[in-house]
Amino acid sequence: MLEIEGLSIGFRDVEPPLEVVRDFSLTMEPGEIVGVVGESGSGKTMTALALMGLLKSRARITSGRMMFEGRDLLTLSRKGWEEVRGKEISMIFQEPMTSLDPLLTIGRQMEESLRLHTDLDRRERKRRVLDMMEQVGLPQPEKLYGCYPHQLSGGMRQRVMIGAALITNTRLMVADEPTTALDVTIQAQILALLKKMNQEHGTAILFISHDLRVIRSICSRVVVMYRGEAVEMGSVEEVLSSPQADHTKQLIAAIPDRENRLRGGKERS
Amino acid sequence: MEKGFYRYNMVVGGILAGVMTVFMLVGLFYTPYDPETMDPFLKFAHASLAHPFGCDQFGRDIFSRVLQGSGTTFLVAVGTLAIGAGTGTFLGLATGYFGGWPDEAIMRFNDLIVAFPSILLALISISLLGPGKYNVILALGIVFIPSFARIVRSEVIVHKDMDYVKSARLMGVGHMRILFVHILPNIKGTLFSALAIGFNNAVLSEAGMSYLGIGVQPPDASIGRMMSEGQAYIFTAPWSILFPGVVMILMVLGFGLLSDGCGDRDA
Amino acid sequence: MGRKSTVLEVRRLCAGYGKRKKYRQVLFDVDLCLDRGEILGLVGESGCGKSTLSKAILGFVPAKSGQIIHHTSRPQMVFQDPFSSLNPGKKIGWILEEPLRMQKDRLPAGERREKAVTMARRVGLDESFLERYPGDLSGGQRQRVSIAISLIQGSELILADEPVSALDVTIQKQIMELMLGLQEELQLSYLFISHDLDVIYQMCDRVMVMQAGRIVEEGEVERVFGAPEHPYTKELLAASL
Repeated sequence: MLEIEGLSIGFRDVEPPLEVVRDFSLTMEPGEIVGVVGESGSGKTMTALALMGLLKSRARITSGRMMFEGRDLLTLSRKGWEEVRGKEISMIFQEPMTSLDPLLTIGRQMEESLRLHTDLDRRERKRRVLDMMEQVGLPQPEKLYGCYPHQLSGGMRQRVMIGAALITNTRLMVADEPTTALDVTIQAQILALLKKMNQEHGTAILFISHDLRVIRSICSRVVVMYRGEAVEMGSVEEVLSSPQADHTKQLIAAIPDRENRLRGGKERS
Repeated sequence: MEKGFYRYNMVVGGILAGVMTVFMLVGLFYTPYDPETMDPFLKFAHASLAHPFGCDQFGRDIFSRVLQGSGTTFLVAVGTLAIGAGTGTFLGLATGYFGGWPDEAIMRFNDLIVAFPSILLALISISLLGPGKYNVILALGIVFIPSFARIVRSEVIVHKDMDYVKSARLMGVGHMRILFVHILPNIKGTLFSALAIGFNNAVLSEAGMSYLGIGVQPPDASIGRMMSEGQAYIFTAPWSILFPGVVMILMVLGFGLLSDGCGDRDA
Repeated sequence: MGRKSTVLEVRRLCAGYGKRKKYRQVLFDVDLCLDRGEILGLVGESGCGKSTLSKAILGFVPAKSGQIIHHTSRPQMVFQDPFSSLNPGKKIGWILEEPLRMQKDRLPAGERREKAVTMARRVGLDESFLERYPGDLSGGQRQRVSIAISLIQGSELILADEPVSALDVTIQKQIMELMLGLQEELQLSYLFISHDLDVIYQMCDRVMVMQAGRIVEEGEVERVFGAPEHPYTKELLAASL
C-alpha cells in the first residue's frame, strides 16, 4: 500500500547543507501497524511530515520515491495533496490541546474532513460524527458535540483527534507520539482504542514514538531510526529479542524495566 | 522567520539612528550660523551652498535652526526617557515580581493615566507647571511611566515563574539580586526595543506640544515649532517646513527600525 | 553504614493554591519520612499533587496545616524541564558559582572557580562547559548542570521532580546512573518524583503512590510492585506497559 524508497530530506539554506533523513525506505501493507522509534533529532517526525506533504518550506526532499496505493506522492500538486491528506492519509499529534482549534466545537472539528471530502448533507454528517464519537469511546456524544476543546481532558481530546482522523475511512493514519503527553492509565486506553480501530476499520497505522515500550505493545513491525537513518527494521519480536544494530541494543538496554534494578538496594549490598 | 531581514532592519536602523544621534548631539553645541540672527535680505532665501536648507520668514538659516532644534529635541527625548523608562522599569520590576496589593494599586493608577490621551495629560501638567523645555521633560516623563512599567511588568511575570528563578531562590539568592542580576538581563532585548520606540514617541510628543505652542518656548528652536511656524508658508517657501519634517522622519524611522531589530533578535 | 537518621519529616501536611474563596486544596494529610541515604519514590498521574508536595517542602507553596521538619541544611531541587531551569543569559560557570557567592564567608573568585570545575567534572562535564551558555547544551548536559548546582553547596537532600522525563531513554539511563553513583558516594537522600513506574522501580528503595493529593500506598519498592494493595496502585501497574 505504502512504499517509501530511498527518501532523503535536507535543509538547503544552511552551510553545510544538512541532511536530516538519509536513504529511508519502508513498505506498509494495508491494515498493518508499523512503529518508527528513535530519539529526539533522529528524523522520525520529519519522515512523518514528508509523508503528509507538510514539510516546512526550508526542508526539502532531496531524493527518493513515495508511492501510496500506486500514486506517486512526490509529484502531487497542492490540490492533489488536499485530496489525499485528511481523506486517505491522516495524522494525529502529540499534543491534542494545540492540534484542536480552541474556537470550534468538537462536532464541527470532527466533521471537517467530511465537509471537505464528501458531499453529505448536514444531517448525514452529524449522524456520522455521532456514530464515530461512540466508536472512539466518547461518552454522551450528543452533549459533547457542542462542547469546546478546553472542556475536555487530554485523553478525551486525543479520542476526538482519532475520531476526526478516521471519519473518512482513512486508509493510513500517521500517529506522531500520540500518547507521550498522557498519563499511563490514559495511555493504555488510547493504545487499546487505536488497536480496536485498526482491527475494525483496517486502517494502517504508522506509529511514531521515542518509547520502545509503547511500540512493543502496539506494533507488529518496527523501524529503528538513528541520526536520520533507518538502522534496523523487522518484526517487533525479532528486533527486541535479537537486535543487530548497535543503536538498537543501546535503546533496548536503556528501557527502564523491572528486570534489572539500577539501584543496588540495601538487601543486596 | 527570515533572520537576515531583521539583521538588515537592525543595521539600517542602527546606522540611521546613529547618524541622527550625532546630528542631534552636534546641535547641542555647534551651529554654522547663529540660529536667532535675522537677516531681512535672506528672507525666504532658497537652498544654496551657504544655506543648504534655505532661510525662513525672518531670514534665519534653517540648517542651523534644524540642528539646534534637533539638539533640543534630543535633550527632551533623553530626559523624558530617563524619567519615564527609569521609573517605569523600576515600578514594573517591583510590581511584577512581588505582586500583591501594591501591584494592584500601581497598575490601577497606571490604567488611570492611560485612560486619558497623553497629550491631554501633558497639557494639564504644562498648565500647572508652565511651559519650557524642562517642564516638558517632566510632563512627558510622567506620561511615559505607565507604558514602561507595563512592558517590564509583563516580562517579569513570565520570568519569575520559570524554574531558573526558583533555582536561584534555592541557591540562597536574595530578591533584589534575582530581580536585577538574574531577571533584568534577560529582558533587556524587550527593554531596548521599548526604549527605541519610547524615544520616537518622545520626539513626536515634543514636536506635537511645541507645534501647539505649549512645548519649547522661543527663542529655543525645536523641530515641532519650526514646522508650526513654517506651515503658514507651505506654498510660498515649502523648504521651511520640508527640511525639519525630513529630519524628523529620518530620526523616527531610524529608531523605529532599530527597535524592530532589537525585538526580533530576541524572539 | 552508621545508624539510620531522618533527614526530612512531613506530618499531616495540607497545602494548596489561591486565596480565600478561590482556595483549592491540593495536598491532604500527607505524611512522609525520609532517611539518610534513602531514595524515596513518589509516583502518581499529572495533577495529583506530586510537584506541589516538593514545592511545599521547599517553601514555594505555603502549608495550610501540618509540619515540615528539615533535619539537614537547605534541600536542593533538580527540575523536570532542563530548558527553563537554567538562566538562559548566564554562562554555566557563572550559574555554578552563584550559590558559592551567596555563602556567608565568601570564597575568593579563584577558589569558587576551582570548586565549580571540580563539581562539573564530578557530573561528567569537562571544564570547557563552564564557558558555554545553557542554550548550547543538550537536555542531558543541562540536567547534569542542574545536578551539579544542587550539590555544590553540600546539600544532603535532593528533591528531583521528574528529572529524567524530558530526556531520551539512553540519556535518561545515564542521568539515573549518575544520580545513583553520586548518591552512594555522598550518602545523599533523594525524593524522586516520576510518573514512570519503571523508572521508580529502577531507582528507588521505597515508593509512595499519590492519588488526588493523598498518599494511598507506601512501602518497599519490591513489595508495592510485587503485591500492590490499593486498587489505584493496581490500576497504575496494570496500565504500565
